[in-house]
Amino acid sequence: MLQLLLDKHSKQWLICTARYPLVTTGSLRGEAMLYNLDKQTLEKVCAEFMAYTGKDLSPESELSTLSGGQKVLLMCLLALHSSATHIHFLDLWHSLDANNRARIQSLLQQYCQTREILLEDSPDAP
Amino acid sequence: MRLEADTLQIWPGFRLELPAPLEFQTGFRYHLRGLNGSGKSSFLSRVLLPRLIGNVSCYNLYFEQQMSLQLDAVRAYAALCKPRQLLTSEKDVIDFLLLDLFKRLREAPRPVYVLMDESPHTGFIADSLQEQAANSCLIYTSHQEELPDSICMDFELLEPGLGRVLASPA
Repeated sequence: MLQLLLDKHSKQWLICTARYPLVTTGSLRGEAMLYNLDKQTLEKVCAEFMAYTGKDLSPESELSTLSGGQKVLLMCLLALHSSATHIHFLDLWHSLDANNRARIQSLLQQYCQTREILLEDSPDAP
Repeated sequence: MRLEADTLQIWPGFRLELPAPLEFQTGFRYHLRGLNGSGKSSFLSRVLLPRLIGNVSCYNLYFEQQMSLQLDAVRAYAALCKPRQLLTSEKDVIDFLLLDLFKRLREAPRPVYVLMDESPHTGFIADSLQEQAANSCLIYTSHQEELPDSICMDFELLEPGLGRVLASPA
């Protein structure tokens, strides 16, 4: 599925799959580089993450300290604060508790005014 | 498997309080419930799994959350041991591990412990175990579904860095 999407529209779309929410395994700074976020934007991501989870993140924070659901939430925030105009989220809801589902739904609502956002489940998801 | 009442240091910055003993028995399903970040996955990987690994009196399977690294590891194992078997999806890997477990069970029956962390295939795995491994204990986390006849254990974050787990009254 992922390969299909990459072949089809990787030049136009940022593809984020919640089955592999973070690409890097070191610090948040490394992950944020993939999204091309500047320092101020990354601070904004950290502040929003803190507001949602109560967890204090900094650019030097180790991503391995996050739970599975927190990784998905972070992926969403990084993607939504990036400059991508088209974002395709895959299997977004599976790892999230009800509170975080509601938060992300509200974020997506807010951001879909200025960019195109697609939500989809992988075909091999039951 | 029994855990006595205790406060466990799970990570350098995270402790989990067990105010009462917890017991996990074969023939039962246990649903670990709680918000993201309340310690469910850490409880599976840092408390239960170390007690099972190396215990030759039982079989155990662990399906980790966001299992990309586990998928690669199993694919690599399968490529070496069963070169003609192509594992392309998460479901293929789960099938591979379950078939291997059931084969071993037929050869040498033992109790089975299965730890399953937010698997999108929760129902399939539970049904397979029920059919082919009656003497098994399934311990799972899921925000999406609760399997019938599950004993629930609730995880709660009391303060940053301190969680608590309690068996829910039946």
